Amino acid sequence: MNDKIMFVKARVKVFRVLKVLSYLLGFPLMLYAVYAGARAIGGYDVTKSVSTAAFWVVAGCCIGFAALHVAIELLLRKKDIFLRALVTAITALAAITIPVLCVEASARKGFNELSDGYANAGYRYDGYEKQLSDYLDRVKAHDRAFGDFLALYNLEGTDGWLSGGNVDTTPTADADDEKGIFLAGYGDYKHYVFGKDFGGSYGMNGLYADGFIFGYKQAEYILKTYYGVRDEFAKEGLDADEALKAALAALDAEGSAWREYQKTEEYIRAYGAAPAAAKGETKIKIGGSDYDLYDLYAGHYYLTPAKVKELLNTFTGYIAILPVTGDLVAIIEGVASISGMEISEESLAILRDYRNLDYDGIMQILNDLNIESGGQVLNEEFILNLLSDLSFYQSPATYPQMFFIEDASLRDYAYAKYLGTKHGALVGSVLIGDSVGEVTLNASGNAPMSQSALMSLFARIDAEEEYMTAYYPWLSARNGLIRFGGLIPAAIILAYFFASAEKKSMKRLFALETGVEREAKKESGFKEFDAVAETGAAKDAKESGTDFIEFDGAKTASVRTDEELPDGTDGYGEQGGEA
Amino acid sequence: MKKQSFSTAMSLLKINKYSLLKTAAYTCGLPVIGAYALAKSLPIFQENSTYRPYVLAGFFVFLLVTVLYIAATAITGAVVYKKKTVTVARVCTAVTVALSVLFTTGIWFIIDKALPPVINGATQNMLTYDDLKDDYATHSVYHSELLKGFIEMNIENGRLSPEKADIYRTEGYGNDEVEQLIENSYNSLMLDGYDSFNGMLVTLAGGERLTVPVLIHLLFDERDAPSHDFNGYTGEGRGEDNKNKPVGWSILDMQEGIMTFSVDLSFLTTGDYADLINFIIPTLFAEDGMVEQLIAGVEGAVADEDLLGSPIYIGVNYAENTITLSLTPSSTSRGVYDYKNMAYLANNNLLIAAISLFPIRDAFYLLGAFLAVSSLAVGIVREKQYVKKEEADNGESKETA
Repeated sequence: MNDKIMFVKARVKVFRVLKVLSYLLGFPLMLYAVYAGARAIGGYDVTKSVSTAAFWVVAGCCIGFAALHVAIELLLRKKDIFLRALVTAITALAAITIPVLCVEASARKGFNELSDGYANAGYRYDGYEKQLSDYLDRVKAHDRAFGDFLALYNLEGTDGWLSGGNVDTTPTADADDEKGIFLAGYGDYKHYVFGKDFGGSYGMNGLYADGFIFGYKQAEYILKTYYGVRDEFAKEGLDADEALKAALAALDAEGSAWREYQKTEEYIRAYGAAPAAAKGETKIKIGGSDYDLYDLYAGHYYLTPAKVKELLNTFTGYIAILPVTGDLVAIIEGVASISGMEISEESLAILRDYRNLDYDGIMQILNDLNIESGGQVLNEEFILNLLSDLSFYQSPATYPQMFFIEDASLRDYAYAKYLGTKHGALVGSVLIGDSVGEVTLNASGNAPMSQSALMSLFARIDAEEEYMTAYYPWLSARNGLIRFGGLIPAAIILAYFFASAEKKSMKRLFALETGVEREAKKESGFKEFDAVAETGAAKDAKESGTDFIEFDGAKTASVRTDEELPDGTDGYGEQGGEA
Repeated sequence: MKKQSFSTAMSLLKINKYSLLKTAAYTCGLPVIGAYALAKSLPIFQENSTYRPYVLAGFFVFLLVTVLYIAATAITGAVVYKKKTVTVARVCTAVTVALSVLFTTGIWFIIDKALPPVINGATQNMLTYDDLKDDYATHSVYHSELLKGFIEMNIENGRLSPEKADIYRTEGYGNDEVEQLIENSYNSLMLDGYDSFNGMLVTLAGGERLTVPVLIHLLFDERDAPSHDFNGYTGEGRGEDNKNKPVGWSILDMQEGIMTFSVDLSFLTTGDYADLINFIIPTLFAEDGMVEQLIAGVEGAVADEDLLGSPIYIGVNYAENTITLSLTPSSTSRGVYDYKNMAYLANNNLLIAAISLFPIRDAFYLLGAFLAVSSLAVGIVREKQYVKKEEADNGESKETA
């Protein structure tokens, strides 16, 4: 192997590496920067789904440029390499700058329009220029505020989550997918689905499914409705709660739509007498689907008065036989007489016969004692009411009483209040009350946000969501484009320069190799290679008198390297690979 | 001089220098990976030794890879020996290097995709592949303790004969009685407990959303009567009549830990009858006082099928105007864990098999490159050993031309 050949080979390699590095310095580096920007905003929920939108546009521009590059090379193939480099660099600049300017103009305009819209609605946010530099901090802040709100009210993300379906196993449907499971409505009442436009999963009666845990969207809608209607009533000097109470009382009156509804088969099936049929025994058809009669009886899912009676009787059965019970009865008698409570002889007889004490006996004693506290009489009715607050079940296969409220905004209010309190209490996401969010056996909830704080938070989150999803992908891409886009023309010119140097060396190498064979036959002298002679290595070789060619005994001849090769090729391409 | 005597020694010992080099190269491959895997696996073997053969799953995978690798090197070795050309030698080297990558990183890349659904499914997502991946050592200890604790619990309550205590402790999962008891207990807890509740409410309770309404639902909603034998449990709350009846479970049995409630009685103790109440309440709550006696009756009532159908131990304490009520489920005294841990225990054999894979996974991922490098080294030695010098030169000039 000839030393000179090895030397030229090394030059080819160096130029090749430099050429590739120069290319990488251009579009790939910029694309990477844009991608890194997209990833940065992709780490936050609000911009996650749109984070790569602008990246793909930029990638599209790059592909467009690549196509143009090929066209330029084809059109200008006979022209000087530096002319080609110049045209390519200008095209690259145009491929980057023109889209950037267009998108920039439209983004700025759209952003300002949006900003004006919100300003009219009383919410201000900083202008486009200011957000250009600190958009990432803003996404972070948004993410934090949103996360804090979810944590405070113990919500499941943006859209909520259905944990299982309904307690009574009746089907559920998503808001946008009615599947015909909803009840048909009653009388003149149009079927009503609360907050349908805000997602969620529903039971047949248009209420959220039992296992549906609110997300941000539902919580926002419920709270906005709740406070919105309260404000509406307050403007007219009315109290929404009082109005609701009156409306429900009116519905309790004989002849009301609610009372009529309670006479329907649908309602009686859920709240009438317990069905005689066991689970899986009797099926009925509602709206084309089969349902188990047993499942549809709501009494299976809450403490009905009959069940309370049964439980208490079982309980007293165990307590009555205890030796200590006699002592307790004596204490109760003592307390009653000291405190001056009047106990009838009948009640005393029931107490003394404590071994046969049962539900009816206890209730009789309670009624007899007539204990009053805060205007409430502690009697059977009071206790059953208290229990119904703790244990109730709204069958998804029947309408709730509030469905029949005629005033539409009052009905909305009733639904919002019910969902924010009772439904929220079931699933551990209380929205309305003194203690909100996670009210469970392990956690006692959080202090709620004030109405004004809630409303401004909603305004902020909604506005930010709108402009962040619309414009932030662009802002992040813009950064990468501006920082690295300028490098592209320079990188292209450099790459062309190194490509040209590589090509020259390749030609020389090819000539050198074919020359070795040819001259070996001719056994003639050699001419110095101009370029090689320029290098220090060659000079050293000359100065030290070392015969370049005869180093390993072979002989070679000179070939003018910038001539066309005998076979008509320029030596570029076929010998592109490593020898 | 020294070199000469070394060669002489080698030839006297009939040791070929190529064989020596190849042995050294091989040693840097699988044995290094094996040693690392063994060091990482040893604690898992020791902690879960009674889960044979499950605990050896990782070892079997390693064995399989070893066999495949040995087969591959033997075949390529034979081919190089026969053909003796540089091209064949290099193709064979490339093949062994590629296979070594496939057998290490490649296989685990596939397992990483295929195994998560299997593990997540087996544990009903209670223990995921990601949980185990980086924390397998902790889980190994945890799951071995689950078994030990279960055996102790049941020796104590007599479901496992105390006379044979040492046998149970030594044989662990390998003991048929223990294995049967685990299966039986889990079935009872699952079928007459977890599955007997309405699915969605028990999901809410399990998802840290056990609210008061959910608790009331779970305590009092209609449920199917228990129907599964629970290994003749005869403990508390079960009179002679109920001896052979299936055992029921309440929602508290599904949960881990004790539930406590506090009731502030200041409104009574500072009210109209303060003196009287301040005298009566402490008397009622005194040790062996009326409340304690009453609670015994309440506990009996709670265990009745018409109420909860499962005993709950009620602790009551009165101090500083506050009554603290603690509810302890009967699961521990009946010899079971809460539902989640019982589900772990019932699937422990599979989980431990899965856990045993992770040290091997670690070793292959971390040291897979050793096998590739060792394969390359072996290939180079083979080329030197079997391919003749001239052949090699020809081969080279052929390639460069």
